[in-house]
Amino acid sequence: MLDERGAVAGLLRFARELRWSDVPTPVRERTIQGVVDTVGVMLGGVDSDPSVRAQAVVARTEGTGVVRPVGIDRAVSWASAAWLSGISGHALDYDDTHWVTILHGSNPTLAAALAVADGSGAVTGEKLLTAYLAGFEVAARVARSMPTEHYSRGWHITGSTGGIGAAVAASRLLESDAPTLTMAVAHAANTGSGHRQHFGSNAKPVNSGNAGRNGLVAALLAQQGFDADPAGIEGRVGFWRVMCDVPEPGALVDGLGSTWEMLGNGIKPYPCGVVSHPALAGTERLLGNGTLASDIDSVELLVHPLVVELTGKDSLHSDHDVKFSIRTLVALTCQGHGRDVTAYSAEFVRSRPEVRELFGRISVTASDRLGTDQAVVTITRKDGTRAVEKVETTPGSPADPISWEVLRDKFTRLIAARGISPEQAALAFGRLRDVETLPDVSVFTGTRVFAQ
Amino acid sequence: MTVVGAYCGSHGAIMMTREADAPRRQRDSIYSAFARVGAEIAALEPDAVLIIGTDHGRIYTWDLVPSFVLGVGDQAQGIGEAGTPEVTWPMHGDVARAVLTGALTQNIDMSYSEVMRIDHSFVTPMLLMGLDKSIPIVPLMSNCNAPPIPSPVRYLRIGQVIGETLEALPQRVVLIGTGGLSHWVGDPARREFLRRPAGTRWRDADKHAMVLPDTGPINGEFDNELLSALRDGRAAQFAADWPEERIEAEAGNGAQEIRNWLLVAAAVPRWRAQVLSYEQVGQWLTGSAIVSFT
Repeated sequence: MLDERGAVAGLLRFARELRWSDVPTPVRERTIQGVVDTVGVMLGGVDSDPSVRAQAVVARTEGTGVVRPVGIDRAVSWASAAWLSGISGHALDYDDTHWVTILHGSNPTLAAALAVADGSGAVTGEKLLTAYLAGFEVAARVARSMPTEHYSRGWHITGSTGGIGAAVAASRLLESDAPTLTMAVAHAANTGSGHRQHFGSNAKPVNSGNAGRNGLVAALLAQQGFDADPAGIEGRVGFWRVMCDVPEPGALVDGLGSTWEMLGNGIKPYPCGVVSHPALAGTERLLGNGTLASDIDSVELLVHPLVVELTGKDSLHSDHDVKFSIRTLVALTCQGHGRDVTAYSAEFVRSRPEVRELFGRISVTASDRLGTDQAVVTITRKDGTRAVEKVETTPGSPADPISWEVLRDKFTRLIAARGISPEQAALAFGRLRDVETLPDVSVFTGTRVFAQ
Repeated sequence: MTVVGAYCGSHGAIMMTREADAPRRQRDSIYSAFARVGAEIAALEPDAVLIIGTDHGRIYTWDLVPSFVLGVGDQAQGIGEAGTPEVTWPMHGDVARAVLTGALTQNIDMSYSEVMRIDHSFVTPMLLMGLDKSIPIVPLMSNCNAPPIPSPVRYLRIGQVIGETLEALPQRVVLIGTGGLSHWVGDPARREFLRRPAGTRWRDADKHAMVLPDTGPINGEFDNELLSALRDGRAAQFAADWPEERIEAEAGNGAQEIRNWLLVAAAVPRWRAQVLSYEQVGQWLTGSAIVSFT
């Protein structure tokens, strides 16, 4: 028989006692890639509309603080640093995804951890990696423990569970003891929120920022002996009961130490939600096999039903409309812009009539038979011939992890899009890739990662 | 906690009517597992057995197709179909009333019957377990066979509510969920008829009476996925992974009955299933299993 309180305690014990030397090599590599990718999308997102507006709010309401958000050369409060890093990191919908839960766990977790690193100083790369991994594993397992109603009811799982990961990571860096960690997690569970209604608006990345900030504040509150009910997750009217119909407590502890959620995390090659990726990968392959964009008469997409639900937008009012329109994304990909972060904007699409024109010749059909990492793309050419590509596993999914080369290319494009030189991008990439041996990771905050 | 035992098992009457057709080893494995469950239940000395079965279109015909019906009264009547005998069984009114009130209080609009009739989905496992008539039952019929049917998530929620209701009762109760695993109920014409839209079937019901035996292949992968999900306490994940259409396409319309297993698993969320027997019995056209939760 499984005891719910025991399951929560078991998971937090694991998170508290996790040592980098106990982590298997493949998990270490994915964790390091997670840091590189997450800091990369934070750096790439600081000029985005949601990040710029959020920075304006902080500038208007706060005096000078002591901690720098990632990519922003302005010292703010610890909480606002985590908030801004979290918003920047999710603004482009380009941060990584834990595929089975659709949790974007790295971003809030590292947003909180890097605020602590800059605020308290002398956090080594190994400490950061361990704290991040511990936080990620906890958030992903909590997300897993709610397999049915939670997401479908409308919770944005990054907002609801990401803060718990952030609280764990921050607590690790603050060296909190067991009761303090339990309290931090209870505080974070109490603040989990965010609704899917806002997908396609600036409020979506705010959920990620809120998760990072709330998790950090939860850890700091607990450090001050600020109590919460310790049964914040499993209690009678706590997180689980409010957030889902039937929780599965076993998901917190089954295979702990041998099954790693980090290996279920996927780093995105395309700057949009993962549900679109199989169709984009199929389109890229067909074009790589010699079909020219100018030859295309029509494109038929057969996709998982969630793709239709989440990316059925036809309007073109904002940049979000681009990312949440599978037809626009496929049209962009046909024109060679599938991995081009600067092309994922309403302005860019409007300036390319050929993209809008092709958009009208793309049809989408949902199929229950396909998994979320599968799609069938059929291109009919103007000469009447057809080419079909079935995507069985998507690049960047857990089954087909991203390579260092593709990650470097993604990072370089993100930095170049902000007008930063390739030399500085290469310097930053090298520092991030070597995070494991870095003596002080506060170099990742502000813009110091680009400094010679 | 007054749930003192929880079990699930297949319920095909074919296990009795074609007992001799099955390979000896498989027959013995299934029969001894049912007998073991019967002996365990007797030893647990429960006040009542809450058994969740279904109907195969013989009790609830097209004039009324309820999703969930709880038997509340003195005795249940086994209607004697599919080769099972007509039997009457005492019911436990107090536990039944408490479950009904508990469900309604939690906004679950459960139907009830004061003259409850039950089919082989209840009677077969009760007979194979050798359940003693001195233990009254509380039968709960769920519609697994006449589409559209309630979602698996609904079964989880009802299981959760039943578990919480029973927890507050003084009586000692055993739960039994019946149905599945992978199998196709009815011949292809009957299955095609069942797939017609609701509201279009009643006129032609005479032309498409239930014809046994069942047909179609056993899907061992589906069966094993369910059993390992219950072993690992992942009933809700299983429900998320196997929506109705996927079950229908890959494991058969009869496999929809595993909803009753999910209900039991959700009623005892801290318990894990132990598989007492699983056999792919070709002669019975069914992936047949019996599990015990501890």
